[in-house]
Amino acid sequence: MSRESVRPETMLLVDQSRCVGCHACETACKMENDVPPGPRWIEVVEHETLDTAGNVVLTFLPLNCRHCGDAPCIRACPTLALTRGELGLVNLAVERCIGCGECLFACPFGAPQFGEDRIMQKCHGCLERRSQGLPTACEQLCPTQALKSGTPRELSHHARGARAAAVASRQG
Amino acid sequence: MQAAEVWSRHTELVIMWGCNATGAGIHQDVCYLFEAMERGARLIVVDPIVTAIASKADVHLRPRPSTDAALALGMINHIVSLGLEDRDFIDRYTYGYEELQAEARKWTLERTEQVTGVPAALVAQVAEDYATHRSMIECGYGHQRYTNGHQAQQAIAALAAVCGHLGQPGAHCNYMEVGAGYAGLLNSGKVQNPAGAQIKKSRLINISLFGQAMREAVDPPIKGVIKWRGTMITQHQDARRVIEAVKKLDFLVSIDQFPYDDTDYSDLVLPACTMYEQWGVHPSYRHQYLQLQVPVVDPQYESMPDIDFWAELGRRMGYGEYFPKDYTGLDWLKELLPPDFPFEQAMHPNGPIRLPERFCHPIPNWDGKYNTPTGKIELHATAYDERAKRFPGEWDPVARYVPSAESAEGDPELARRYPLLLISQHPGTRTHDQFLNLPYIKEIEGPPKAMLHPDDAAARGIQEGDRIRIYNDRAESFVLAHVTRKVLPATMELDSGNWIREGGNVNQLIHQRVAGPRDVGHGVMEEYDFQLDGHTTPFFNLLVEVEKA
Repeated sequence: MSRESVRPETMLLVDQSRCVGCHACETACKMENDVPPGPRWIEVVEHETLDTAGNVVLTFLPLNCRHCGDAPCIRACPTLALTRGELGLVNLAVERCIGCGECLFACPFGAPQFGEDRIMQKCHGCLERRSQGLPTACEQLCPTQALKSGTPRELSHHARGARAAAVASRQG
Repeated sequence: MQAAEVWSRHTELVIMWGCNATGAGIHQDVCYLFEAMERGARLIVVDPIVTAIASKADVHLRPRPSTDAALALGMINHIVSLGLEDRDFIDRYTYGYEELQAEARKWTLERTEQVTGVPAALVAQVAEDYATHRSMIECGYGHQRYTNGHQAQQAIAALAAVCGHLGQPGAHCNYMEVGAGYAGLLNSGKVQNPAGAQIKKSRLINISLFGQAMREAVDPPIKGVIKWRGTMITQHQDARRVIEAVKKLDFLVSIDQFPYDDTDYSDLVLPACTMYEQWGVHPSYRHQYLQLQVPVVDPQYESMPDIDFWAELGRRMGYGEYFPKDYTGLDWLKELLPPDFPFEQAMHPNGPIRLPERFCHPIPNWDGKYNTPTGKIELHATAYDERAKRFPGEWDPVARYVPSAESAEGDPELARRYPLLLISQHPGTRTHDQFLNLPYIKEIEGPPKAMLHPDDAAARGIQEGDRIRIYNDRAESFVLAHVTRKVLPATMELDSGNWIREGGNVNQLIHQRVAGPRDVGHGVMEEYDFQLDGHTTPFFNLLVEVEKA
């Protein structure tokens, strides 16, 4: 398949300043998609670091399929099971997957998951919910509103609006 | 508590003290805190452990466990020494300031650092910032889980009073209100004993001395227990002693959802409904809203709503007239709540609703009135003076720092044998010991792990993931080691709520003790005032040693 680059129409914005590692997004995803224990289509990873003053600080990063505009997994998949789908999401055709794991080796985020059948499974971006105008399951259940789904334009607008409000209130 | 929609808009600085809000109360006020911070408010977290919320803070103070009273007194002394106290507020609304000041004066920045381990410059900076901004203090139970926890809480409240940060939008200190907002609402319904009923006043059993007191109660002795909506064994101090007491019972009935420690020792287990199968009331410790819970599925298998069990028991005991057979959970809620309660509005998905203002004002103490004998904030607690005339105990009326029991400072001899202080956080993935059986929860939690500082681990040849034995004279617990700087040196952490039958239970290591000023002896009591006598259980007064298993 030729190298392709598509501007994604939907993304999940992660506000790390608000993520506290509660794992509610994981639970929401499992309930929405009936995923058994084992594969985790989204997983919050905790990391312990020392800041410049020597204080111990935890950071949390929810990691799911990023539905990359130029997706390494699509290029890596030998059976064309991964393709660009609706809303620019990276689509998985399960029936084509042979479970070789090439996508996992290629993905910078460790997103591809494998269940007991050894066939790849991953976040599908809640395409159905998004088509109905609903937020993704993980976004809806996030208690700190650290996740937000939308088009890059919408998310940029949201992030800039929040920044402007913060600056305004500091100046006020 | 002050209404979250009020303080989050007005406060300039929030101190979260001993409060793992992101782990144990994420649904309560974390979103409001983030809104305040994005507006520019500063966050200070006081917690020996690096929690998620501590990692969001502008400043994280990490006092040695149980030294919080010293920290608060050191801050008060520094504030007063700079003349940053609110003189007008102190004169109008407090009682006993001179005595407090005399106590605080002992706490120079140097001595505060020496006892708490918090650098003097940080204590000074936080004290000054707190005094000079419109500030909130939001306390959790962390610093209260010691025998000196009441003194810590008293000192923190005194800090707020000295700065006058009370009763205004964005300035408040929780735990100063008497009881939670919802208590008034839930006590205002028409449920009461029928006229002429003769209900013999019995004695009380102190929750902190449960295992011991259950055996020592003689008039009358306790022969049978029906337990519901709570855990008797897993969640109590010195859990093994509770097991001994339970074994001596003639009859134990558990109303539970899953087999675990409690049901292992029960003569009869009645299957309980989950919250999804029955009506319920959902208020909160930390915000002022309430929601009625609507059953979304029928009771499964042989389970029944709790209220149906008690009503049926009442009927079979011959009190059918008080327990109508056709009453639903909603009918009982209508008995419990006031007649003018807006039931429809409070039901999911319409709810939640704000509690009526007569039960909790959005800004507690807005009128400068305090529910104490003097009507003021009692920096000298006159109620303690009265209590001291009736009950034994250490009724120190003014906040001061006393080393807590079973800590390095409180019991140096024991600390030589068991040098590590073990704290137990509430697990962020469960409600205490509930849901431990769910594979989905285990997937996130993994096997039980205890946090251990790299220095302590290295000294014992322990590495990340090693199986370790945590022990003291009372018991031992086997878990995996998590070697991390999230805990201070000489401190360990093991989450509460692990079942004894599955391993990794922390409570069997804990000695039975009470927190608070009153000496309750063996725990069998005629009366008890939890506001004055002791509010919590000292789960963190626990010294252990650890080795590779």
